[in-house]
Amino acid sequence: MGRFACVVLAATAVLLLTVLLVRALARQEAPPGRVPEPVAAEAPPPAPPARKLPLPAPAPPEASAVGLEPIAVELPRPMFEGTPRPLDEPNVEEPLGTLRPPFLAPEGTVNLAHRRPVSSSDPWPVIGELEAVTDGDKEATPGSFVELGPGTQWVQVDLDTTAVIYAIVVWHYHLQAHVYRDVVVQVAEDPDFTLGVTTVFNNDHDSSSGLGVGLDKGYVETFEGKLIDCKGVEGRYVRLYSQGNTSDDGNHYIEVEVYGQPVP
Amino acid sequence: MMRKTLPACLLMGAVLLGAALRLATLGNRPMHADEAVQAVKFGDLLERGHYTYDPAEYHGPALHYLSLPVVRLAGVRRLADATEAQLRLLPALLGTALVAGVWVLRRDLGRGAALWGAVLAATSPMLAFYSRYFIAETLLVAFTFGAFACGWRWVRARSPDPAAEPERSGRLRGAGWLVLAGAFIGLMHAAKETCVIAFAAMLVGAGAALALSADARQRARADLPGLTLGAAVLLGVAAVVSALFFSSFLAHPRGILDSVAAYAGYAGRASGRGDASWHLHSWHYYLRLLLWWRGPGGGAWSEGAIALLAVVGVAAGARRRGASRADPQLVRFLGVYLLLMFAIYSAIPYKTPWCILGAWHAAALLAGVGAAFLVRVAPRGAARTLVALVLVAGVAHLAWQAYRASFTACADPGNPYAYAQTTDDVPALARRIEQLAAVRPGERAVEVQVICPNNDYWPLPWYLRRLARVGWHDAVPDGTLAPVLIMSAELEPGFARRLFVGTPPGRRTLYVDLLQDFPGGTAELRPNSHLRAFAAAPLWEQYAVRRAQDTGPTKDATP
Repeated sequence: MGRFACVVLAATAVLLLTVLLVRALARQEAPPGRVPEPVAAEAPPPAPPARKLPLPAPAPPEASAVGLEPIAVELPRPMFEGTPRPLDEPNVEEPLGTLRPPFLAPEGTVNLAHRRPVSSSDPWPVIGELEAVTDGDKEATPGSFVELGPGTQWVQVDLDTTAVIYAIVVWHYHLQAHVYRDVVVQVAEDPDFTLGVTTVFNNDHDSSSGLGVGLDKGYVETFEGKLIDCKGVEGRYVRLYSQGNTSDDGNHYIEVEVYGQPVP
Repeated sequence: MMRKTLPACLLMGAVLLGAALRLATLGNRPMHADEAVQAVKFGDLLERGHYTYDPAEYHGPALHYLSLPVVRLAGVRRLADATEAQLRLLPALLGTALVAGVWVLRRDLGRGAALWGAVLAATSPMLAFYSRYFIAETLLVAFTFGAFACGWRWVRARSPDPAAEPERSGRLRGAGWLVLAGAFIGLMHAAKETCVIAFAAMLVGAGAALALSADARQRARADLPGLTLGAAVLLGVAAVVSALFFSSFLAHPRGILDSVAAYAGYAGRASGRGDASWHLHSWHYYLRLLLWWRGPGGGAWSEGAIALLAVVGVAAGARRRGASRADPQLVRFLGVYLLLMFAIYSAIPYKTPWCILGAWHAAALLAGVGAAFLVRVAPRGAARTLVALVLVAGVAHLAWQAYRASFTACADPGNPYAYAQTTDDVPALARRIEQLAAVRPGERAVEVQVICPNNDYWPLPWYLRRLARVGWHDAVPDGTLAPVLIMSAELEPGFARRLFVGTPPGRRTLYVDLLQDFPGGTAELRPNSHLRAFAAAPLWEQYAVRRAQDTGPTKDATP
């Protein structure tokens, strides 16, 4: 009986110790920096079934169905190798250092600016013709660009119809790693920019062009051009301002592309 | 001297081989969805000391509680710091213990059979592969083996087989084995609800062993009071151990009731009701899996050597001690247990390959009996050498397959054990998302939305565990979309509609494709389950700039 009692006592002690040990192990303060609970949803629900699914069946077509289309911008030849060094210019973002992936737009999105008429604040360019801005030639070679005079100048593209604009891509002059100053891009419904004017890009930090203070950063010209997210803004006219660059006071444009769809 | 040290050395070799196949590079395979689910549940226990048993999901608490000291010993306090290898360490250690544990039954199986059994358990591709899984199955198999091995030792201590060992006296003889067996039974219950199938198979196996031996029946009748008391102690210890785990060590007593209530839900799942239709397989699924499997890549897999030797083991060992040195009652027990486990799991429509693991461990033990028998009955000389060589070749074939399964083809769709395996795309996608999110750390952390119907996004919660702001959705959410989106490929039209039709002009953010360099522009969550991922263009540009800063310019810009 004595041995049996000892066994029972020992077992009880072991159990108690086990409970205390496990609860001590588990009782820890939540460590700092714990990953917060998921936002906008409950914590992950219980195990989803591990399964082998057949390929998903295509969704039935709907009247309002919209397909996604990756828009791969056709690029000209790079005119310098490697990633450009950041220039000694304030408020300039670092170069991407890698190719930009295609952006996504609804199916049917095209470059609405191609061969559309171009007007300018400088009707007599220093070099080239305004048609170069929308002729599809993006090479940084003589004959492919137009140079406007010094100071704040703009070019304007008429899209022919009001359109939903998803992106604008602009190449000023990518022969060398310049930064163009006070770049402002606006969309409007009328050629005089009085109706429905939306500024989609502005890096004029001191509003020296008189269009308001811009919060966007300057950027280094490369063969990829500058992609501007227009967030589907609607308008017919696109105007691009600039005020010289880090090499000289000229305002150059090789090409402007406007990706969108006419408003039905 | 040699007779004593040689078996120990051989056993050590088998254990080392088993350990190498189980413990090496544990993090080499992407987390399976089920592992990730367990890991996230474990994270709550690790970080907040909080665990409550959920009768609908996650299985028992043993995996989480027993992993706690293992992960803590590695100095980990947050799930974000835990690694796949740390989580898989406990099952891997228990899988290795299964190899070494055969030695407990050396008197009952015979030394040769125990050694062969250890070698076959070590090299079985299935046993090795699922020892590297952070799920409850290997724990269940290890505890099941512990229960019947200790139970068997207790029975033998009460009523020793006179042919095998001398009788001992004392009321408490074998009490240690009894308590251990009870503890293992409790742990079985705490590991996984399917332990009831193993219980049933063990009970019938024990009944058959008893029924087929008049001598055993006579000895049992003679010791009936002792056996009855023992059974009560066994169940008492099992109940206490189980209750401790299910009650979260007395912090959540309701868990004990829930552990019983859970069977209603699991019965429905087993019958194929509910959302488990993709796990429904034909009755011969396990036979095909283990005997002859040809994967999509064309490679053939077979553990037929174990099956063949197990049949020999049952045929040779179940009748009487002779050329087979195994205890016929143990062989009968194992044979009936194996047969019943196979029959029950084959009859259940719901099948995942790891469910048969317990049966296959018993098959490896019986195969050890068969292998030892074949060596013993072969005439000395060339014939015995030939038999040994054939057996070694069979073991080598198993070991090679185990190596393939665990290392070179661990996530390959052609690997029969890699069931609905997460592909290598998922860690690659997660790395990319983490890099993107690093653009804005801290309170302004980048928000990520994961959108998959039926919450079919596992194991992403594991891979995105370091991110501060992740939302989980089963449909494209209303309101502003996050700058980083991961979604099932079939939701892409809904996303496009939401972005380009459901969002007013001027607020339609431009997204870029994050997976354009992945095959087909998608990441495979599992084979045939595709994900798309997008990032807002401005965020992607920030990310690209940051990456350029980190890696430096590719080359000076030269015109």
